[in-house]
Amino acid sequence: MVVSFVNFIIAGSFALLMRTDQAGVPATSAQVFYQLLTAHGLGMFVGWQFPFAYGIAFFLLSYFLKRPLYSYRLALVASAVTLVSFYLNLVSIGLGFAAGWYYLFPLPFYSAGAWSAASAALFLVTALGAESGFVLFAYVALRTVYSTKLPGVGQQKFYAQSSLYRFIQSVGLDSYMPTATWNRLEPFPIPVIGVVVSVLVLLFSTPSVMAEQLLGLYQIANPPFDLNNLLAKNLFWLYGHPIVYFAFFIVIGLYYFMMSTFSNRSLPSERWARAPWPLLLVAGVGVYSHHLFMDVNQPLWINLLSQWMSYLIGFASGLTVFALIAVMWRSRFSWNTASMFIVASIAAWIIGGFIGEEQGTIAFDVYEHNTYVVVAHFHFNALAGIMMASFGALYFLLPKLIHRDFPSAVMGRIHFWTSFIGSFGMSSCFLALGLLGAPRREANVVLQSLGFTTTYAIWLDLALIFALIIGIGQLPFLYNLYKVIRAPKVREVAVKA
Amino acid sequence: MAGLYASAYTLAGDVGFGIGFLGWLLIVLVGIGVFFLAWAIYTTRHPRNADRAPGWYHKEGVYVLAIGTVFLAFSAFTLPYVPLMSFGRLQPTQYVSVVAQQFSWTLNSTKVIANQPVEFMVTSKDTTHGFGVYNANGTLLMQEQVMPGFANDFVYTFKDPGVYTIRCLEYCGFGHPTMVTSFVVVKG
Repeated sequence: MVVSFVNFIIAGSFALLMRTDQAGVPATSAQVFYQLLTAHGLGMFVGWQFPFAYGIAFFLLSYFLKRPLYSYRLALVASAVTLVSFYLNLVSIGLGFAAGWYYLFPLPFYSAGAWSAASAALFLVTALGAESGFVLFAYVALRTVYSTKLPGVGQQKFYAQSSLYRFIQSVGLDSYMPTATWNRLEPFPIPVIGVVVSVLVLLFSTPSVMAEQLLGLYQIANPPFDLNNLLAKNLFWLYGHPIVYFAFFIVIGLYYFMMSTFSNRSLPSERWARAPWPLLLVAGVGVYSHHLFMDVNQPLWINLLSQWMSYLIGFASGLTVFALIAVMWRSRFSWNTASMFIVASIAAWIIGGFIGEEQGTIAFDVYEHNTYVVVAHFHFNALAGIMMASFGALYFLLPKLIHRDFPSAVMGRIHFWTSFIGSFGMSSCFLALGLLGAPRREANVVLQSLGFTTTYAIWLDLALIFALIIGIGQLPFLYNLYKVIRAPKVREVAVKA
Repeated sequence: MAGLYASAYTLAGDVGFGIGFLGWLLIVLVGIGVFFLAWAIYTTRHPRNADRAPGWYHKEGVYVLAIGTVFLAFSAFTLPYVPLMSFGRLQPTQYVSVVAQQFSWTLNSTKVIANQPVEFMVTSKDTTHGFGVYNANGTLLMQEQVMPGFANDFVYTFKDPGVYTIRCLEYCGFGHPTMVTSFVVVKG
């Protein structure tokens, strides 16, 4: 987890340089801008998200199931393979590859002289490596959940059941069963359900992107490029969208646990807290085609299905937010750095979620696709949402994991307020830019030849200021992180259930 | 067109919404959501029945019905405006062939007549591009992805004469920001 936050700082620095560029203070050339664009997306989605999700998932599984990991050694290998692949991925970008982290085919093979086939091949090979690390992680995680042979004292009734019932409970399907059946079952921990659903969604999606990457490597070895681009785009986004839920679903599982802990009360309904998960499992994959709403050749029924899956995600998210607000309502809520990060991230989830619902509606996406509205959506959800929640989880769990307290509450508060103001402010600027029609992924958004683009400038300048606030705000966090790791072990700190 | 996959549908423009409507819709929806969260935060200043969940939480069924109805209504309301489904409402009377390539647009005609549906037949010579049309005020009116190997067509009716801008909306390489051109809409 600590490595993931280091990668966050690295990928965030790339973003800061991009913000500087777009605010009219050119720090780089267009070529370097697009290399940074590629590295920033990759750094956040793989460099930060994967090790964070691995670390938190392994902790949640062993803590809530009260059993060891299926294989500690394999878990380490999975993390090492992912991280080494990610850093080699960055090397390929350093060598010039700049087709974006999503490298929309056939762009990797039409570089217009900007990058070599070798750097594109290295990117694809190392991406395959990172996905192999994920498959290994998934194997360890799922064996830890489902194996009946591991020692442990928790969930004894769960492991005495058939494998079908174990699966049903592990994804929350038991919440839809008759009351008599529900009452007979031992409640399965929601944070573990979050991990299982997250892993299953991504595991289902990963083969498609691996197939796409292998096809890409074949094309590099056997030019010219003649792959069906629509098929390639479907293969990528079938993975490229679910990947954004990897840490998010785990964090949602953690929300239930942390919010009831902060509120000093149990969940109002164990059953309703499990109801969203089967919906998230289905919609997490089915939603992918909203990236192809503006492709006139994509079959209409797939796009309509994805529109309704986008609504299903919103519906399931709404159920969760409804439950979290109910837990908090008139409770003796413990306000501290961790809980402030968590509550702020729920606010971001609401805002980013509604923006996403607009984009998930085909008739609306005509005006928002590939504009800054998309950038606003995923920065509200990923930066102000998942990232803030992960900080909350870190402030909450790390002292309990390493038996040391964070040395400075003031530093924690400064970290919170700068991150809150910076991330919400920057994402709001992106939303304003999007509503003005500003296109995303542009090294030069403001063009002298297009008079109306000058209205973008003020929002780009403001976005840079907010980005700087986020950047400066990470300094007290790094100070706190350094101190807490170096501090002497003071006491045992129990995680309250 | 020879060598291309046939376009299964034609994107028909002028779908009835605008970015202004979407902006206000967003403000209303986000406002409602954030208001309830802020209210919940406020209530923690005055804790009551702290060990028990509030009674309204057990109205989950009402919530499910309400939010489900909203989404169904939302879907039904927007369905007629899905661009691909509105195909057939506009019969083109003029045609413009557009070729996209890194990093330029080539149009066989830069003059379009207002209030008459025009079909843009857009193809790509290399990678995927994005065909985005802005009016003189900078409002994004319409867009589609331009995928190589496919015919990417759409029909649109321009109401106001003036100069319109085409800007590439899909990252296509380092020269992507320069991929801009324009055409003129004249009175019929």
